[in-house]
Amino acid sequence: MALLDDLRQGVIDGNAPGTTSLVKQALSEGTPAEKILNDGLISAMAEVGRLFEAGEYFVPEMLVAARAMKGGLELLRPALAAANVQAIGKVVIGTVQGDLHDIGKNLVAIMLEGAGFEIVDLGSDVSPQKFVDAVAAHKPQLVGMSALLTTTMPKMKTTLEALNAAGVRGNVKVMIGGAPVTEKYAMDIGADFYAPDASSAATRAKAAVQGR
Amino acid sequence: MTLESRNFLPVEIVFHPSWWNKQYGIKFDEAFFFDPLTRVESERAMRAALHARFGDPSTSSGQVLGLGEANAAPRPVIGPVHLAAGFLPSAVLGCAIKYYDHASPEVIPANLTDAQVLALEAPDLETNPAFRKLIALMDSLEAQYGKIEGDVNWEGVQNVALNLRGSQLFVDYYENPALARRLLNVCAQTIEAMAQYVRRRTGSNSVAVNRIVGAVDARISLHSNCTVAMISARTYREYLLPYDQQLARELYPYGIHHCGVDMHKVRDEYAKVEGAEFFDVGWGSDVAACRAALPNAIFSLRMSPVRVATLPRDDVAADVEALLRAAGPLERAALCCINLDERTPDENVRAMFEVVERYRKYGA
Repeated sequence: MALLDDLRQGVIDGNAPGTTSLVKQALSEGTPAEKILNDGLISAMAEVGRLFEAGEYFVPEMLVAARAMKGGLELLRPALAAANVQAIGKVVIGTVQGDLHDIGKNLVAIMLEGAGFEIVDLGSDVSPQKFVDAVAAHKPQLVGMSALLTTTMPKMKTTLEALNAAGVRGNVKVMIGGAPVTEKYAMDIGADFYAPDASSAATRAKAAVQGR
Repeated sequence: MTLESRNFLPVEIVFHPSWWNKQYGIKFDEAFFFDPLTRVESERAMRAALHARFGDPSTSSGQVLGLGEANAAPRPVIGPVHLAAGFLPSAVLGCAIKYYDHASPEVIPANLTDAQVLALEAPDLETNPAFRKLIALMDSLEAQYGKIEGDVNWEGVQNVALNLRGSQLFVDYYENPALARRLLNVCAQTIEAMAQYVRRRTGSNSVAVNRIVGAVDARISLHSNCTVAMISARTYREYLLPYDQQLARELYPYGIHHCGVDMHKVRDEYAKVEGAEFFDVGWGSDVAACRAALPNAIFSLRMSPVRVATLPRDDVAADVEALLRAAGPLERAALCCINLDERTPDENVRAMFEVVERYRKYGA
């Protein structure tokens, strides 16, 4: 469908006004909201993720694509709700306590939302207790933690211990990432998986909730 | 091209504040940076500690690495040169700074609005409250010792712009280029003024950015392009290359600190910075590709502090070998590792130096 192709390209190009205009047009022409979401917005963000992994897109390109995607998604929400279209999962995400860096975490949130997840973004400098409270309140399938400093990385383990002590650790998969974080570190502290970048975070998160 | 290294294949390491705090109780509060007595005694204690641990032939290992200073005496060092801590330009332009006992000062992002960016001007350093702290320190030390030495990390144009505007800067590159350029202009003007001021008074302005500068040529002005790892070569070319070119003209001899994993991404752009003759090459960068584009530059090859902290000794040695083999002429190479934390085994530090010593004696 040419309109959805144009919409998809609009997101990839970071054309926010064009994207919202095309979403409106698609809705007015009777295109199902779920089709606009999947074939337009989510498909576009998957391509953005591929371009990022290929080293063709960087943070600015991802951010402007995300803005276009979010603008389209806001227009779609009422129609998606009316059609009872569900997110593929819910993620609670934040940068750990003592760490103010949020660009990496924000990129992961963008890619997760672009992959169809509902995001509860706790921001930065998030205490273990705040993660626990958010899991209890929002009942996500996934928890994502980011740290950019070797001195704040240990808070990932502390948060995992807090989730365990609260009796909710078994209810979620925990994903970690950030510059000093490694696959080995994730295994050592008992996280479920590690993602080296925002694009692979979305891929691995999808696999996690879909039981693959 | 005139830059030549004073020493053949210099090596430098810098420990993370957490290592210093845990091992020696040094605190990195505001007094560490600006109180004259604390400043001088902290630097002296750090030089003495490094020598006792890594420089004294009577230690059990018997290995002399040449770090630190024997019988370290008080010296009027104005900024931390055994630490990675860039924050002053961001503070000068209005960011709040949070100090920690065990970590470098943290810049609190200002998240400036469009209107605030439009109103932002490069300040008069002599009256700027944040810079006056440094001036007061310099004046006090100069009055006591008759001279001052060292410098402060002056961050980098995009680094500071991101502290001021946040990730909205990246959106500005696409949606409001004029605003982005206005902010970058103010950052560049401020940084240039600070670097000129410090070098005028102490003779250097970038040993605090990378200690290798002091081992190569203390006149080098080293511009931090840490956050260039987040953008494409095209964005760097369009928005930041002109500032590197301008700063290289004004602050020559000039260098670029690219601690990201991808210096090869912008190697052709860096080759267009006339006067850039020293490069901090981030771990993960394709060193050989960078060398091909920058055949005459001095490369400070950066090791990964996470790998040096966590890998077996032999793997650390292998990392050094790989860097030196790719570096091209060894007289145009140096090795460093910055921000080694408290997990770092001393033997891994020694492994780095052992490999370098072998290359110094026997070549590649």
